[in-house]
Amino acid sequence: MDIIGSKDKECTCTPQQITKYMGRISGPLLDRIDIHIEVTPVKYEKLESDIKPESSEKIKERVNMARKIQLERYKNNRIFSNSELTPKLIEKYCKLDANGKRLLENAFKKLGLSARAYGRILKVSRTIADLAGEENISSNHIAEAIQYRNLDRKYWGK
Amino acid sequence: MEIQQIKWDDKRYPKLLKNIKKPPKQLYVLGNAEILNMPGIAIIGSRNCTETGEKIAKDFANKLSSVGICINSGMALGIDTQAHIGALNAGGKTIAVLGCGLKHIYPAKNKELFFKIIKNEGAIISEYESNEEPESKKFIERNRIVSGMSIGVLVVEAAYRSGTSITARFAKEEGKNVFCIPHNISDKLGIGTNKLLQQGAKCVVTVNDILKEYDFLDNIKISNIKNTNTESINIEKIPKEYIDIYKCISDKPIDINNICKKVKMNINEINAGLTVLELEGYINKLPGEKYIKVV
Repeated sequence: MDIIGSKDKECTCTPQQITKYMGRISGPLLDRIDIHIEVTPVKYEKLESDIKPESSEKIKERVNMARKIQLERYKNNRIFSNSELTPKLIEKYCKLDANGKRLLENAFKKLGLSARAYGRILKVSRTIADLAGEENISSNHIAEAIQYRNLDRKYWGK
Repeated sequence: MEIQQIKWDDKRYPKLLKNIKKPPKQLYVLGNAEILNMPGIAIIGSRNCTETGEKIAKDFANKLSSVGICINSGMALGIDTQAHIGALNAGGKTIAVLGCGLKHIYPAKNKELFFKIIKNEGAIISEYESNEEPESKKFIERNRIVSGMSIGVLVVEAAYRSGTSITARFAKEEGKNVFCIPHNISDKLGIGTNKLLQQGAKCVVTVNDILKEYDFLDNIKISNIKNTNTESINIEKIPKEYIDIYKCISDKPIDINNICKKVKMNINEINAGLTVLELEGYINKLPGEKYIKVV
């Protein structure tokens, strides 16, 4: 199996084949997915490395915390979570400071993101801020959220 | 946009091209036909190239064109494309030789580049009638023009038995300088270049290695070399909290897992930092969650 982007296995496809493959999933469809992350194959040695990742139990605690924050915040809006935010509610609950706005604007210009991606990024930023237990979305949260929109980028159009 | 026909006896017809085995009887030109006799170096290489190769092609094109050398190539994807872009970024001249008539833009993906070359007083040329279709045999014939009109050929990446090797062979037969970027012997895209080096091509590590061969040309000023791709990067401007991330990113792509191992930061901070560094133009993101330094 050859994979473009993989470190160990060489991709033998032509640039045209790669473009065609990437084009199989249309932009508008990708726009509707909140988070895309590319993962590369894991080598055996890494599976048994001694670096201890955060335990699932701890992560669960954080997630539950974030859920609680959201339930509380949206109790009068008849929704339960950030994913359900409508454009109007996004405006209300995902306010950005000047830094955040500048960063997002820059990202749109440079990365060729779509209008639909805009709402996704704000919602994901809201979640990142909630997970961190912070009331306001900072530019760091925005920057992290942008990182999770891998497939919108114009990888192949260079 | 009008296609100009440059006949054999036209003074704009490239003089060097007249010395090759089967010179074209005429050339069709879109854009600036006055540059066909400029001293030019061909920068060539694989279509399916590595990111490092793309960078090298762009960087060499940039520097060579900033001292008044025209960059010649075939406008194919990969190395060719980056060579043209590098020259355009430096405000230099570049010539694309096509393996089809000028009414076709081949490959179609380079439509933007095609018009950009014309707009920036470069030239798109071909020996074929304007409506002739692209064909694989024409690409080989096209390669003899790329090398034929150049004073030297720089091979950035080439697999074993590739079109690039054919162009280099033409250049060698015509007694021109063949320059090669050396590669690790395990690199597939280095087999062709390393082979050329074994056969006596000149090993090139910096632009000066090429320019040294042409110090007899008056209008080329070695001292003029400057990098116009980007303003030189001012490390002090990089936000302090992200400097460690920036430091572990080099010319060789590094993936996010390895960045995490090297930098003692949380993944979310690293993700945020990578976005900022990318948006500010310090690094580029590549497929496979890999990152590479900008110039």
